[in-house]
Amino acid sequence: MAVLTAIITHLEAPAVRRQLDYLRDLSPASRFVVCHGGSRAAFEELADKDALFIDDPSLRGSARQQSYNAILRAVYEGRVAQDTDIELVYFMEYDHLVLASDFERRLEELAGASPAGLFAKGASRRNDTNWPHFTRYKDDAGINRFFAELSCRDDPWARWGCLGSGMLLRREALAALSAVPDPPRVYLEMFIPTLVYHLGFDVVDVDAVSDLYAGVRWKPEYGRDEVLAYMRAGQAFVHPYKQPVSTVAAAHVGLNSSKADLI
Amino acid sequence: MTTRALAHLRSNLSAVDSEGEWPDPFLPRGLERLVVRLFGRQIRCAECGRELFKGVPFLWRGKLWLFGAYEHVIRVSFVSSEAMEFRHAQLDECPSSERPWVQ
Repeated sequence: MAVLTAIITHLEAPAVRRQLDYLRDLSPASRFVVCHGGSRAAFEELADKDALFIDDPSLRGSARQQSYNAILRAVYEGRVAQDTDIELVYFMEYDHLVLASDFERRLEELAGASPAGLFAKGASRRNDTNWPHFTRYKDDAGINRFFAELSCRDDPWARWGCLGSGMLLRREALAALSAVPDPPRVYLEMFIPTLVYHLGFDVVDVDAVSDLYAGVRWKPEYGRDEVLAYMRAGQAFVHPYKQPVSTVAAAHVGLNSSKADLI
Repeated sequence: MTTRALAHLRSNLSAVDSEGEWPDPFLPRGLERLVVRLFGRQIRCAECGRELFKGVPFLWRGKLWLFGAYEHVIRVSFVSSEAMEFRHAQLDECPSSERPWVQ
């Protein structure tokens, strides 16, 4: 079961390169693809074979309007469709930090426990909540019509939500998402889990089945000391951590060598 | 209260009468913090008993407002003809025997 990890970023080339170097050092056998939604100049300066330019202005605007439609399609068509080994695709934002070199094994374990199409932080039905991305879209006739026409469920009005970073999609679910013609540009944290559900796949809240996302939260932003504590505790991921990856990379090396000394 | 917060409040009041997106949160954050500090009551999760948020219930124009709920994702349902209950929507905030990893 091969995993492809897609890093969604808008950062300048040197910062993206540092993050890629960190990830490649951490897990040399892993496959990564950068989805660059920032400026074309930053993407061209990056000049990495594992990078895709995502030409979607919503990625450069307000976070409340961000759509990942172009990202999902680009990753599927550009990387997954022709590579039949890839069974899982992990989408993480630039401030989602991988701490453990065996993160893919842990993701595979998670996916092995359920045939669901999407595993995500806080994934749940939101119709009975005050979640602002449910309330702001609930009376949108165009979106309601879109889901009603496409849904294979008995409840086409069901709306789901999850954290946008750390979504693990099964290959079949990503293929189905990418095949939807002209999807509306709707905020990703509502749109993706809702669409996956209406396409007939189950959606799993990672927090309901494991502690894999104990270090993943919406906010507040993590400080370096907290990240190091999670690293020592053996956690695989933290989010959000917006400081340069170099602030923890050195500690990672130190932690691994002290573990080696203990062995 | 600052002039800017008053202007924000005036703009939100007019938005409630329009057909566009409702202002969310309704009160400017500084005013909301003050109202919650002065009049807020603990709203607890019906499942785990932990505090969900401190809020001020307020009836206005046929709606029950809960100032202080913004940024707290909560489930709500009627449990009798006159009582509502609230629960955590985020499972990592709601300890349970099914989720021993939640502190």
